[in-house]
Amino acid sequence: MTNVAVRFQNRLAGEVRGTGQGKVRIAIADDDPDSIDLMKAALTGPAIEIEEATSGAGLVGLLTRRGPFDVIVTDVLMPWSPGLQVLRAARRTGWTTPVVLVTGLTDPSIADKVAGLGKARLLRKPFAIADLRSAVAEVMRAPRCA
Amino acid sequence: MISPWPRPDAWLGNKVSPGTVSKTPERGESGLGKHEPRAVLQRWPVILALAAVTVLIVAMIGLDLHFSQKEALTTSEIIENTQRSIVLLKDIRWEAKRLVTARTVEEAARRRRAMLEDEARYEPIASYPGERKKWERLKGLLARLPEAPVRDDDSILALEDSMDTAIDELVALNNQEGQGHFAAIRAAHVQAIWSDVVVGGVVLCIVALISGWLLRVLSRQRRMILKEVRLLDEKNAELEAFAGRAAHDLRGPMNPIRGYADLILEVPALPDKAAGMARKIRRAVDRMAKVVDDMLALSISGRPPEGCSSSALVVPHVIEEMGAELQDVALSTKLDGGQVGCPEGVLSQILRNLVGNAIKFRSRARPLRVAIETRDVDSMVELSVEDNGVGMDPESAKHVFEPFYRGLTDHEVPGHGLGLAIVERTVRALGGRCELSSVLDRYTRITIRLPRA
Repeated sequence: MTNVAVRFQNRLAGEVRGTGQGKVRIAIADDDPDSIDLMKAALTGPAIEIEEATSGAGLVGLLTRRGPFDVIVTDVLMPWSPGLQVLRAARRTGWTTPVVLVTGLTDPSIADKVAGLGKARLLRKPFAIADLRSAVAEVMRAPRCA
Repeated sequence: MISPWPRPDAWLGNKVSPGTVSKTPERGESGLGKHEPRAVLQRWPVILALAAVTVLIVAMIGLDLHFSQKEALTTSEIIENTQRSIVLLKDIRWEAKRLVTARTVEEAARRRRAMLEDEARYEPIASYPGERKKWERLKGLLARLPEAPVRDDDSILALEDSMDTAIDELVALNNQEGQGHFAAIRAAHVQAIWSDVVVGGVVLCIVALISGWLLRVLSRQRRMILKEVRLLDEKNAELEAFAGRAAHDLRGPMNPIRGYADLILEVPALPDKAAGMARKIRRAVDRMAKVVDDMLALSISGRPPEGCSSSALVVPHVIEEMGAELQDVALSTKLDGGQVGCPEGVLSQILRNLVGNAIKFRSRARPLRVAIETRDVDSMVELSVEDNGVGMDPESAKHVFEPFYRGLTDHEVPGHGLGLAIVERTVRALGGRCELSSVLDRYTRITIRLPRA
């Protein structure tokens, strides 16, 4: 593991609030398998447990059957229910899990919608790995939303 | 098959009107098809119809004037003839009486000559039916008048009575003739008024019909234009959604390329050559992402955005944003402009593009100076950005607002020739205009004028 990745692991460890036996649990959802692999490669580590889904419906299943998670990283536009819609529904039911949304869309209104979720960060594709790691660390550090 | 993908706007929770994602109308289905009834107002039939109505009205007025003038001439001729006849008959009576009572042969001869002259004058105007006969009888009586003066002759007295009677009859006949003409003229007047009313009515009907037809066509045309505008709006919305989706689909595959290049750079003890390649991959992806963004911006830059902003606030904000890029630039501002009819985000983007251009095309021979000015000019706000960079030749200046145009001197500078095209299209969509003035190796000034809010 590189120094950068190790620093990231340590950063995350400081933010963990104990969802799973000292490990940081991350849910990743994207309809592009290459993007999932990339995000897994960027975030993976011994203290990190990653679960993945390739659609909005899959993310719902992941959250309900395999949750809770410390952080969710999801694409905005996915088949069978967009990530943004899933997260809105999750927020309505009281879920406060921090989220990082990634998207290739350029619609300026997305930023406002993501901000409306609370404890959320938006990254535009193609993003730098450093930006992804820092976004994940940042949302986990933010105070829990209502 | 149901598509697993949400509709273009649905995933953002935007309201989508039922027509927004409708399919593109087929030929003949919309107002643009060849089978659609022709609704566009044709120029020539309208011009011909209006010309016909104009000719008709002018002809009616002309004929009316012509007949009125002719009628006036005939009326005065008749009155003149009648008056002359009566005067001539009275003269003849006077001469005949003087002839009868003449004291000398010479006086009698003079009276007869005068009487014969009056007879000759009356001759051509004795044309009324019945008048001729009475005139011939009077001529016979006049012919019987003696050549020499006569005293107390009963036959002469009887002749004089007969002559008086004949002249009275002729005067009465002339009076009757005049009255007959007057009655005929009055009848003609009434007829002319009626004919005017009828022709005027016909013309009014024609005008009303043509106006009705024009109004119907114009109203149909208006409906068609509204329909076309609606279709255009829908197509624009679809195009925008498509462009957004296309940008998304293009940026998606770039993500793993960019990301794996980052991860390669994290590999311990990576050879320098490999690290260099990974950095090049990363730079290429960043450039590609910029091209995609700019092409998307260009595709939607023709749509007029709504909102207003203060030029005096936007300029400092953009300067602060671009602080790092402007570090070694001698920047001056003069901000006298007011509110602009353009959203803050759009105005910021325009200014960022202009200032970014000035930075990109700086001259290596001298430190870069950039002057940003705003001022109100009539109903517009003028914003100008001037630099002392490389400038451009007149040929490049001519094409500078064309998409993908790169001047001869631009190839050393990274870019793809979309920045100014986006600025120009956006400014045009806002109802403004762009001007460029530049001298090679001296300066470039880009001035945009936007409507005031």
